Amino acid sequence: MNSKITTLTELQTDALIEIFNIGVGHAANSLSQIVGEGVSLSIPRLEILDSSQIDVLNSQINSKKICAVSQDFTGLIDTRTFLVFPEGKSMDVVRRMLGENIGLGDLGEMEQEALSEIGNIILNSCISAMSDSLQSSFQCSLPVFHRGSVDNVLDSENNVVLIMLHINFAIPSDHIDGNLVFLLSASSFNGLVEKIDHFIQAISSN
Amino acid sequence: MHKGEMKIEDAYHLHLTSANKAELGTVVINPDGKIWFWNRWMHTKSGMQWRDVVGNRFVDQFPELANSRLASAINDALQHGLASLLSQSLHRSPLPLFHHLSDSASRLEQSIQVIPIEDRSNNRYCLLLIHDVSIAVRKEQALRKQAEQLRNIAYMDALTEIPNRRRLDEYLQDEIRRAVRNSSALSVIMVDVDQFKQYNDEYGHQAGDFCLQRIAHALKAALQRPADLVARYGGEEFSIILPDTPLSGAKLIAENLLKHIDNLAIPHEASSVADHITLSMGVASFQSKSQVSGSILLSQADQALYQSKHEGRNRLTVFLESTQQKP
Repeated sequence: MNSKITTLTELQTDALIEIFNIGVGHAANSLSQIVGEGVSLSIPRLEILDSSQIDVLNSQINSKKICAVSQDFTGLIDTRTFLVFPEGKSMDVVRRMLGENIGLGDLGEMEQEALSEIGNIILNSCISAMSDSLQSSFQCSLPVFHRGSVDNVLDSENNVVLIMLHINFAIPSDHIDGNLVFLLSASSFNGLVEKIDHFIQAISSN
Repeated sequence: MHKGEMKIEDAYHLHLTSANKAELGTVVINPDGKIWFWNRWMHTKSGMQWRDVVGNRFVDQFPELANSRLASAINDALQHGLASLLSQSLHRSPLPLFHHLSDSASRLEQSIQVIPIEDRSNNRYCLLLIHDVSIAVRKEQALRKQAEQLRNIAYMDALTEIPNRRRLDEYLQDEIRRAVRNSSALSVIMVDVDQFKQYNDEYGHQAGDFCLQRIAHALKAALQRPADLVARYGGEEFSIILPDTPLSGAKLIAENLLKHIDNLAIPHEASSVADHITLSMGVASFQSKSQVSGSILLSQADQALYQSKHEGRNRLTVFLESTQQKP
């Protein structure tokens, strides 16, 4: 039987948001260096969902089609991670980064690859921050680009926990909102919660 | 032969041959960041043989990599087991690799994958896969250029070769959004050619077309700031968008345009206004406080234009919320 512990305490949530914000802070530095402009990233909110609640993501994204970049990480927890944008916004992100005004109707091959790299930088940084803070190591795959409906892209099996983060891109003169989604098994989630508790203990005993 | 029977030297030789036949660059970097292997493609494109670079630190081999994303991606792979992708769009050409070594202009456009790998004793190495994407890049550039040309055609009025209604609507929407964001002013002028129907009847449609072309070019030439936009609204009507311009400034510009067209002195014998082509104008302005959409602003300018025509043409009227009677 599955014991469902798909919630986090306020303290655990704050700790995780803190860790992810360290991660996206590093990612923002890397992105700023690449585009030669100040890019800042922040994670204001985090939600824990189970696979039956995927509609929450649907309603927040509010777009039939999404573009996403995914990477698989294995180690302390096994997780498939996604950076998700509504399709239209994904073009904004890429064009802002590339400094282009005019693009083709859809993201072209080169633009898809650019978005994949942006996702790669953000997801790697988040996992690095987790790995540093929770003292555990991960292996990872190369980023993969997806386009389709939320259900098709996330293609989550049952009994999966979703950690959903809101990510805010501030690029000079514009704000773009996206989501980071971590899919993990119930056992991986429990492992994560345990590590977060260690982390909190270590901090509070210092 | 069963695979179990292959001698280790033969297997090694076969692996090496495969790597050397590959039409992409493969580099293996050891846990100390030193080059352990690179294939023949790398030799051909860099001019340096494997045996000359083996044991050198990869980032020392290419000094321009200092503090680069590629250097930190290699470090992430070796230290943290993270895989990275370097796209061509964000880093055109990280490594000095060339189609023709003697021609520095032939530097390859690259897409690079950085992949951590482990040997049997769990020592972490880093595999670089370097793809030459020059052809794909050129194809996309050509497509983008075509898209831009098509877009220009879609946004241009065929007769007068100034922006058309579609462009006007989009530009006005963008500029209103910008004005709200920056709390700046924005004005529009609606322009109508006086008694143009009579002009067509008198001189014929071909002359009418030519007349519209002259007016369009004259209006465009008289507007001096790059952000000002004159578009053909339809028929003999033109619209002018003046970003960062309050009503007083727009009025001055409109007066100047009236004079300008007057000075062209395009003969119009059938006109009851003058013996040459004249214009009627309506000016409306947008204050960022008021919740005004592009279509409302245009209709305000249109109401003012209507008043100009009603009061005898060859003049301009400014739309004022308080004095304008609703039609």
